[in-house]
Order: sequence, then structure tokens, then C-alpha cells
Amino acid sequence: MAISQTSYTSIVTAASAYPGAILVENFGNHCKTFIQTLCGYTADNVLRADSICSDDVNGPAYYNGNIGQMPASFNDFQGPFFAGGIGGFPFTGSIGMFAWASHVQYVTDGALLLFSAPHIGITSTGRLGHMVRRGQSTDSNTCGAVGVAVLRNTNTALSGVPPLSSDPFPFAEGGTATNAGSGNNYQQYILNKILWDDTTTRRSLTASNVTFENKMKLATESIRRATYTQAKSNLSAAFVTINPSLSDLVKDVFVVNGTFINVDDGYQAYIQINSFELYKTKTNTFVTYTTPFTALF
Amino acid sequence: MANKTYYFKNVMTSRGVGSTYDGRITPVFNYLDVVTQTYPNAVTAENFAARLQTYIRSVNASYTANNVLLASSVCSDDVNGPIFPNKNNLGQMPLSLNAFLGPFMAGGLDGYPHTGTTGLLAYASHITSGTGGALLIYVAPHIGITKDGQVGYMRRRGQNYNDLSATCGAAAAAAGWIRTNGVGGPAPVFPGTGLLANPADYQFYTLVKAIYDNVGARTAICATANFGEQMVLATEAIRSAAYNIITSPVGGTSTFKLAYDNAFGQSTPDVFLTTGTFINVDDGYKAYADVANFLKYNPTTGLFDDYTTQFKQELYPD
Repeated sequence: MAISQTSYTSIVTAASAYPGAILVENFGNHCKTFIQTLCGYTADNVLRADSICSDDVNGPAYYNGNIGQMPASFNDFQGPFFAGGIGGFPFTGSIGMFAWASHVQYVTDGALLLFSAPHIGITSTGRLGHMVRRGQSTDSNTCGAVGVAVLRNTNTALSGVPPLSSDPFPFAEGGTATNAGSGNNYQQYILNKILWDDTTTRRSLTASNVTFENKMKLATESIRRATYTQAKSNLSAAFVTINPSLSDLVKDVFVVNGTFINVDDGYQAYIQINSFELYKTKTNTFVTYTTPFTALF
Repeated sequence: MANKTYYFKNVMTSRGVGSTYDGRITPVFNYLDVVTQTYPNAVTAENFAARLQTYIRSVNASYTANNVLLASSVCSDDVNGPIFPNKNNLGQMPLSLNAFLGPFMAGGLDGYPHTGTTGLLAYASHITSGTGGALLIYVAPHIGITKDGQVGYMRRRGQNYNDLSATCGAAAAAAGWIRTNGVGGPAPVFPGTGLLANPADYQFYTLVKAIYDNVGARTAICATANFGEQMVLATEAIRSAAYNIITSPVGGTSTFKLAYDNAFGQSTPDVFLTTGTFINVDDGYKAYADVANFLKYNPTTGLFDDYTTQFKQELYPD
């Protein structure tokens, strides 16, 4: 039975879920307002990059009732450059960041906005790590790739050994001689490895009393932290290692990170924000604005 | 080109020069004439995606665009972002493509299907099965062509007119790596040196390797000093590699067969695949598409059957 969006908010912001979550539509509007107030950039002069999951439910909000749950307010920015991949990890690397930054509207003194966020579903019944998709009636594990990474790290036969790109499918794409595939599952291997390398999270994942739903939340948070670190590293590498003269084209990059929370089809999505920073390209420094930004919520 | 009687064909939509109609049929610049010098069969991207809609619906009337889930293995580049009605976005993906659900972003640098088997498996499992939906996968690296015919470049919004932007930049860098090392040079190693040194740049390595492994393309890229020719060769090598990794059986299965079999078990929903080259243009114009093939998955054989001829029968250039 359908619930109201208000009731959905209560479910998403429960203490066991994401207490600081807000509607993504509001988040998108806050981004526009904050960036313009802080530095004077209008949204149409800001080129956005999204390090988010490839999932179709993260597609844009279109006029035609698309399944995508990205906020319509995001469409006022330019782009986006798609910097993510499965799980939202910034798989396009430092070269992706370099390409994106070099596309800035420098004639009009434009800026950049780097948004990074893995995603997790929460159903209208409050089930973490799942959502109900359009045209489907059963819960869909979301993010499915994070779910696979959880299974890899809790798999009885494999949990004692580090992930390999040759792990059997679906963990990566090794398998038997007759089911070897074409060796094209590198991104899943990286997600598996992120969880493996996060020993605190790995211990929690393998504890006997943790539900799969809560494992999804733990794993998403682990991948969010890794995404935050890698996205900033990629950005810095583009400006420092690949081509320092890039900083002549653009001086300000806004960097925001959080967890994108997908919902059952037909509802509006949420987001929990962890950080909002301003990267000053000339000095290769990140200045934190998380407190004033989240004060808008 | 100058003597043709086209007018108001893909004139600038929002910026720069337009055309003044004075009552006569006036020769007016048509971008298609420029694009077809390199891609003779190119069509507007808008027409291409409109044809996707009509063809797929002709297979089954229930396959309306809002019942077909799109996976888009195109380059991450912001100029491949969507065209939004009533917004002045710099993205050149046509409205007719946006009519499909999604998309699942299966690509990454230069449109190679970097999200892999897990990506395609996840995407396939998101099908609108309750309403008898279908899947459509679009695989296309991209290349820029300026309005004055400079291949491998485009003019971007908010940048100086004479500051041409290599497009796809990643393909240009990959072709550069190949040329630097020479036709008989060492295979790329990851992580390696230079642009391959950063462990975060596996996607770029994949592009370099795709070109390196294609001996014909590698040889030709090293043999020509013409940047546009290098870019066309590199783009086609990456398209070909992308197509093969999805469709060609290795060890008894292909990336897509593995995803399909694990997503569906006994049910056999329809999956359409089209590959080609997405052709970006100077900011303010509409993009073009060169269609290499259009196929439909055959669950019995695990291979894709070719319907390119039928698809192109009603595919019009502009």
C-alpha cells in the first residue's frame, strides 16, 4: 500500500537508517544557492561531474517521467561528466578529471562541481539496501554491485583470501574453463577490494549477528569513504601531476560527497551529505564548508 | 557544399551566427555536408534515436520507449550529457534518446563498456518485466568534428573560438601513447609510466590496450601524421573492441551472455544492441551518429543476430 512522501521521510531518517537525509531536490537547490552566494557562480556557468553509480535509477529527471531519481534542480548545471561506474567509485580516474576540468567555461570564468556519492535503496517498508523498481514487484538489491561485494567478502570459501580479478563470476570474471567469460569485470573487483582493505568494516560484515540489510549500509559507507578519498585524489592529480596550467583555466572546484538514497519507484529520492568543500586549484587545497552548507537544510 | 540549396538545416540553435532568410532560397551552411566527408553514412543523432524507437516498437507494440530500458555505453564527456527541454545544457544526446528509460551508464572513458559484466547483469535485472519491457544497449565512442571540418576536435561552450578541444581527449591521448611507442613498441603495462602510472587510470589503460591489440589500427595510426585520421582509426578500434567484448564468446560465453543468463534464467526478454560512433559538433549545433550495426540477442545461440539492413532502411540523414 502506498505511503506518503512524508511517511517515507520518517523511514529514511530513522536512527537506524540516515538521520541526516534530505530530499535530493532540496539538496540540488541548496547547491545552486550556496555556490552562487559563496562565489557568485550561476548554475549554468558551473560544469558538473557525477561520481555516482551507473544504475538507471540514478538517471536524470526528464520531463517524460523517467525512472531516474536525480533531482531536476541538478539539470540547471552543465553536463554532467559521468565520473563514476558501478558503486559510484570514481572509475574514470585522474585522466577523467583532467578531461572534465579542461572543458570548463573559462571565457565566462566558470567553475566546476564534483559530486560523489554511492547509493543505497530503502523500500517504503524500511528495508535497507533494496528498492522496488518500475515494472517490478519484488525488492531489488540496491546497489547490486555493493551487494555482490558484500557476498564476496562474506563468502565462506573466499572470505579468507584477498579478492582477485580472477575470482569466479559474479565476484569478478574468472570461473571455470567453460564459463570463463571475457575477463571484463574489473570494477566489481575494485569494489570487492575496497571492502577487503577496510578491515574494520570487513570484521563487521562477517559478524554472525548482522543482517544483510545492515551489511549493505556498512558496505555503502565503506565505499563512500573510499570514493571521497579517491575522487579528491583524482582531482588533485589532474591539476598537480597531469597539467598544472589547468589552474589558469579554472580556480574553483566545489566538491560534495554523501550517500544517495534511492526509493521505490514513484517517490522522490534522498541524500545524506557528509562534506562540502571548495578546492582551490592554484594552491591545491581543500577548504571545508560542510557546516554552513548543511545549515541550509 | 556552398552551392547546395539547403537552408535552416542545423543552424546554430542558441549561440553565434544564425541565418537571415530574405525570401530567396539561400545557400546556407549544413553541418551534415562536413560530417559526411568523414562519415558518409552519418545521420543526425535525433533521427538515429527516433529510428531506434520506431524499429523496436515494430518488433513488439508493447515496446514503447517508456517500456524499454536503455544502457548507454558512451563516453563520460559532459558534451554527451542530455539535451533537456527548456534548458540550455551543453550536452548533445538527443531528446529522442532520452525518451527511453534510464539510462544505465555502462560506459566511461570513450564509451568502452567499463562497467563490465556486473554492470550489464545489474542493468538487465532492472528490466520492466511486469509490463513486458525490453532492453536496448547503445555502444558508441565519440569523435568531434568542427564545422570547418577539423576531425577529432570540437569547439566547446565558453571556450575561445580558436581553442579547439581534442574529442575524445582520452582517445587522442591513447593514440598518442601508441605513436610515442611506435608500431613495434612494447605492450602497455598497468600501472606503468607516464599517463599509465596512476593506479586510478585503469580505464585509460583499457583504451590504450584496445588500440594496441588491434594491429591494423596500431599500424595505421603510426603510419599517418594526420591527427584526424589517427582519431578516426583510434575511435573505430575502440568501437570494435567494445563490440567484441560484449558480444564475442570467450571460453564459451560472452560478457553479455554471462549477464543475460544470470539475470533471466528461463525467461527470454528481447535485447537490442546498436554500436556506432557518436559525432559531437561545435557547441550550438546538433550531433550526428554513424551506425555500425543494429542487432538483436538470440537467447538460443547466445549470439546477436544482425538486423542492420532492416534498421537502416528508414534511417534518414537529416
